Order: sequence, then C-alpha cells, then structure tokens
Amino acid sequence: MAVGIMRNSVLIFLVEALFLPSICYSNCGLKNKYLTIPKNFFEVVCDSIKCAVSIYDGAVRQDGYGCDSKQEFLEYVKTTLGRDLDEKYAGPYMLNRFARVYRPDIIQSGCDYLKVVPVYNVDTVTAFLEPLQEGLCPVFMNMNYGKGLYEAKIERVGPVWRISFYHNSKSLSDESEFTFFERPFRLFVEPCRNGKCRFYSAEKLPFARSSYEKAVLVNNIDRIKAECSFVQLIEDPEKIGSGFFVVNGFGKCKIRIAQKRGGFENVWVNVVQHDGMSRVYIEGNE
Amino acid sequence: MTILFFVLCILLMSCGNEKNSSEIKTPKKEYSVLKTMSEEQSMIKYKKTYWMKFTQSKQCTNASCDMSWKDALNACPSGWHLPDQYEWEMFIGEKYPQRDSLNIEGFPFSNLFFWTSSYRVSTKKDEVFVPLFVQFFSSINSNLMNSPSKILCAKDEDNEKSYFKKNENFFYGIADLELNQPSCIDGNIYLDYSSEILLICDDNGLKSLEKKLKVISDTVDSPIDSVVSKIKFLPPCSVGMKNHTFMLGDFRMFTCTDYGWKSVGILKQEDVIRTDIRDKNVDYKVVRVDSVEWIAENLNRTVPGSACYENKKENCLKYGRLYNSNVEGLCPNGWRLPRRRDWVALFSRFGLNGAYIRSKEDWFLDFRENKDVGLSVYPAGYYDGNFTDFSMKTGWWSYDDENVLYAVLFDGERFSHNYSVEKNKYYVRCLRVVN
Repeated sequence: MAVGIMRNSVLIFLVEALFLPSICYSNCGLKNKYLTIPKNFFEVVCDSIKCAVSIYDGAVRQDGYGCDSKQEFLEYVKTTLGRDLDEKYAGPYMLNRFARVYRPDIIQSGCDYLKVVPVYNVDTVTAFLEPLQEGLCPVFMNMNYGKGLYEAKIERVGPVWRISFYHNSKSLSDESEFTFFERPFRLFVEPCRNGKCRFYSAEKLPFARSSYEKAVLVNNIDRIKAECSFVQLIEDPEKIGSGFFVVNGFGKCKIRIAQKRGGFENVWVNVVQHDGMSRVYIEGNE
Repeated sequence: MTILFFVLCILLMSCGNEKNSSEIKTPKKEYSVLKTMSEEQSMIKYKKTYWMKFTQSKQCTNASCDMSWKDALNACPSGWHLPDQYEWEMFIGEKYPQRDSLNIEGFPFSNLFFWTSSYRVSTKKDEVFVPLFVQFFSSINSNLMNSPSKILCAKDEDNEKSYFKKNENFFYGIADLELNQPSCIDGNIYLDYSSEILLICDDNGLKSLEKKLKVISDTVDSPIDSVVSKIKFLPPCSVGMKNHTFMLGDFRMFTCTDYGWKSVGILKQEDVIRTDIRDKNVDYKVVRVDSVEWIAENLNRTVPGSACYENKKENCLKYGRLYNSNVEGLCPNGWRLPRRRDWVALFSRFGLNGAYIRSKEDWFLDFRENKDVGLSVYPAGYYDGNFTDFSMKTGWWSYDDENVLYAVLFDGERFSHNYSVEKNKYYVRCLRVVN
C-alpha cells in the first residue's frame, strides 16, 4: 500500500485523533439529516384556559446542530434565522425545544370551538389553541414533518384542558383512484381562496382495506348538498378533496352527506369572514 | 496503524468543513493526500463495474460535497456516470468479500445519502418525477424533499455505450415538457410523452430534435411474464430492466434493450366474446378473452363443506358458493382452476384496469367508470373464520407457479394473494384454454 505516504502522515493524524470527538461537531448549525424526529412532531401543553402548541419543523433543534456551546448555537440562530432566542423561557409553557415562528397557515382548525391564536413573541410556542367545548375537531398541520390531517380530541380533565392529537394518516398510493384515511371524519374545510374552499369528508369502510385504510374520501359530489343559498358545491378536478365550497356570504349552513351504508351525515358549519377571506368551520354545540 | 490511518481519513472526510476552527486542520489536507493515489487505488471493482471511492466530480472538490439531483446527473467525470438504482442495488445488495472492508478501503461512511440517476414516476400531477437515492448504503428511497446528497461515480469495464445516444429509435426515459420534466443526462435522448417528439439533453436542458419516435404500430401478443403497468410515464431504461417489456396505459409496449427503450408495438386485443355453454344440464355464461374462456360467474355446485356468504341462500344464487380447500374435481370436465399466470394475462389484457373486470353493482367504493366485459366480478367477500370483506373484495382458489394452492383476491382495482388459507373458503371460477 502507500506506506510512504502513511509514514509521513501518521504524526498529523495522531495529533488530530486527540480532537476526534469535536471534529465532527465543529460545524455548528449544519442541517443534520440524521436527527431522530420525535414520534409526535409537536407538543401540546395545556392549562385551564388554553393550550400551547410547539411544532418541531425540522429546522431548529439545538441537540442536532453540532454546536459546541449554547452560546454558539444562539449566535448561529441569530445570524442564520434572524431570530433572537432568549436563554430563559417563560413558563408555564417552558419547553426544552425550539419551535418555529408562527405562520398563518401552519395550524388549521376545522371547527369554531377550537380557536388558533398566533404567537409572535414566545419562541418555544408556535400557537395557542383555545378550546371552547369538549369534542372532536379535525386539525390540519401544515408543517414539513408530520404534515397532514389530525383528529384533536378536546377534553376537560379536572380544571385543565387536554387535547390529544391523532394523526389521521392518508394513503399515499397512486395506484388507487381513491384516497384512504386511517379514521373517518365528517368534514374538514381548508382556508378559502377567492371564495373557493376545498373540503374533505371521509366515511368508514365496511371492512378495512388495511390497518391504515379504514375510511375513504367521499369523492362523488352528487352525494353532498349544502342547504343554504350562499354555499354552492363544485367538483375538485384534481380529486385531492371531496369537492369545493363556493361561498358568497356568511352565516350558518347545513351540509348533508349521503352515506353509502344508508342515511346521512349532517354537519352544521359556520361561514365567517376573517381579514376579507372566508373560512368555513364546523360549528360547536350551542 | 494502517487501519487507524484509514479510519481517521474517513472520519475527517465525513465531517463538514464549512467553519474553520483553530483546533482543526482543514479537510483539504487529507483530500490532497488521497489525490496522490493512482486511479486504481481510488476505485473498487465489483463485477464489471468500477466504483469511485469518493465523490470526485467537476463540481465538488471536497469529499463531503452535497449537490442537487440536477447537478448530480452530470457531475461525474468524463468516462464515468451516475449509477442508476439497479446498479446500486447490485452493489449494496450482494455480499462480496471486499464489502466488509469498505470503510477501511476508503469508502465513505454508510450513513450518507447518495443520488441515483433513476427516478420514480407516478400518475400524480404535481409529482411526476421523483428522484431516487441510496440511504445508509442499504436501501433506495424516493427523495421527496429533493435534499442535496452526495454522489459516487461508476464506469463500466467495457466503457460507456454511446450507441444509443445517437440512435433516435432508442431513448433513455420519458419527459413531459408541460409538467415537471426530469433533469436530464447530457447526450441522452428522451421522449416527450404527449407529443412523442424526441428530445436531446444538451447542457442540462431538453431540446427538441424535431423528430418523432418511430413507433411500431403492429400489434404484439402480450408476453404474460412481462411487467405491465398502467403508468403514464416510463422510468429510465436501466440495468435491472433489460429485456423486460412495459406497457403504458394506452397499450403501447416498450422493451428495454442494451441501448434504451425501444417501441415494440401495440398490445394485441382480440374481441372479447360472450357465449353460453351447457354442461350436465347447467348453463354457464362464458367470456372468451384472447385464447382463454372464463366461466363468467362463480361456481354454485353444492358440495359438502361449501357455504353461502353469511349462510344466506340468496347470496349463493347471486354470488356462487364458498368452498373449502378440497377443490379437486369442482370444475366441469375440461375446465380447471386458474393459475397465477392466467390472472396476470387477464389483468394485463385490460391494461391493469379493474373497470373491465368488476361488476357494475354492489361495490362499496364509488368507482369512476365501469367497462365490465362480462366477467362481472362481484365483491362477494370470502370466509377466513368469519364472513368478511363483502362489498370490498372477493377471492378465488387458484394455483401459483409452483402448483401450490392459494387464494387470489381482487378489490376492484388490484389483485393480491394469500397463502394462509387452510381453513378459509373462497369462490371458484373455472377456465379452459382454446386454440
């Protein structure tokens, strides 16, 4: 082999061996692809009034960043992400993670009894969720890891709220003309654009296709009716959702979805205007 | 000492050097050390392919360089190429003595990501071409996020084939100029799917040759052991696909040759004929598909051990009977149980489209279309200890290629199978081959 080269270089490499542990971690701020992403890509901490949601969006996580010191990490975040992180974090939402700054569409609540409140000045918290009643609510998490529809179960446990999120995984196969979900859900409506709001409804299958395919997205618009004058229904040509609501007003509306196994699923929705844009929420009990 | 030397080399190579620190020597040092090795020492030979031991490309001057797939396709030095998924699969999949010494031989750590030149195609509008990459030196996945990765270059022992780059009857892969066209490999010829115009990859862009692919319009018999797919776009014709025939959703067939995809014609489809036969005072509806006659309904002969779904007589009348594994002699004289190949031939004959096979009614799922040729497969479920899957699926007793009795299942869109069938009951459909 290259014995000559070896001999000349042995000394250099022996010296560097002393610094071995730090060699690989000298590059503070490298995007480490080999992070262990936590099972839940976000954390929810509640008190008697509201819940704080912290989302790991894969970009900010100290222990994966190979920085030699916390100070070095804070400097990196400042120069690269333009954010000032305070070393101390205010309770009661004290968490050991770093969450991303709130984006308007990162958490989309599908019901009017779970309000999403943006947070701008607490770095560990992405948004607050304010529950108004117990129940199930579809929530869409628009983040890089773990993106998708979740079923939020809102409960009151003693004096404190509790929200459990269950990822309603969607089948990714493009071999089927249908989209399958792990769990059925009555309705979820995306934020509207120019008065058009894509919506989803998934009904339970009589027999599961697989352990992750127990419900199917309703894709036949003829089975769905909006019983109010200011909501019309049109097909989704891309077949991503069940269809589109076209809204030209606001107020309460009943959506009626004929079920394959008979009967109807009736969902009351609230069409509201936010900053000139329409949103359609599942209505809570009065 | 030798081992320590190489281990240290590798460790240093695998760490980034974006930030200089006073304690660390710059990585370029060990790279320049390696550069003095002769070419033979910087390569590993596996079968008929040489693999470069580290990323050494036009764009990268340092062994830890990551790049986009677009850059990766054309980043290998002259005479070398970016290996496709099949070359990678052969390299990482099989054991050979040198592999255990990979780390010592100067190969990068196995916890790195490497591009392949292959891409996955799908029918999704916004995700037509998704590049594939090697993960942890053990598996090949789609890189949905398109994150930059490393490359290793390979070259064939008998030098790169340049024949197909000039011959316009062969093409490397499909491009769609309206949707996301794949990044391309310089000098290769691609086919635009919609216009069938040949494109040449020139300076990382696809340019029209203003010539169309010569498509053979003759009809060909479907080779039933070929891979047939209803995908819209073909992936690159790579090592593992040699001599396999693919069929696009419009029944055009292409074979992967040494030089690229070649059009071989259009799938021959004879008319499907519906007839009736009478056997021992029983009438059967028959559908003839090419040279095979299928009885177009499930058997309904009462034998011990057979049952109706949920033990309801009306189910037997409409859907036939469920039988246990004593299938000897169930079919009428001259007819037999299907084999795996019969199902493959049937399904491929209809372009893997279940619409031609399933019944118009009784399916829970709202299928978009129905083109039942008369086979009228109902989702009549089956029995696996319980009566199950009614309105979603059904299954029949069949034989596999080794003559093992098993169950073939159909869910309206695709076929599957099950070998754990001892105590199960399935339906029976019989067929015979006619000349």
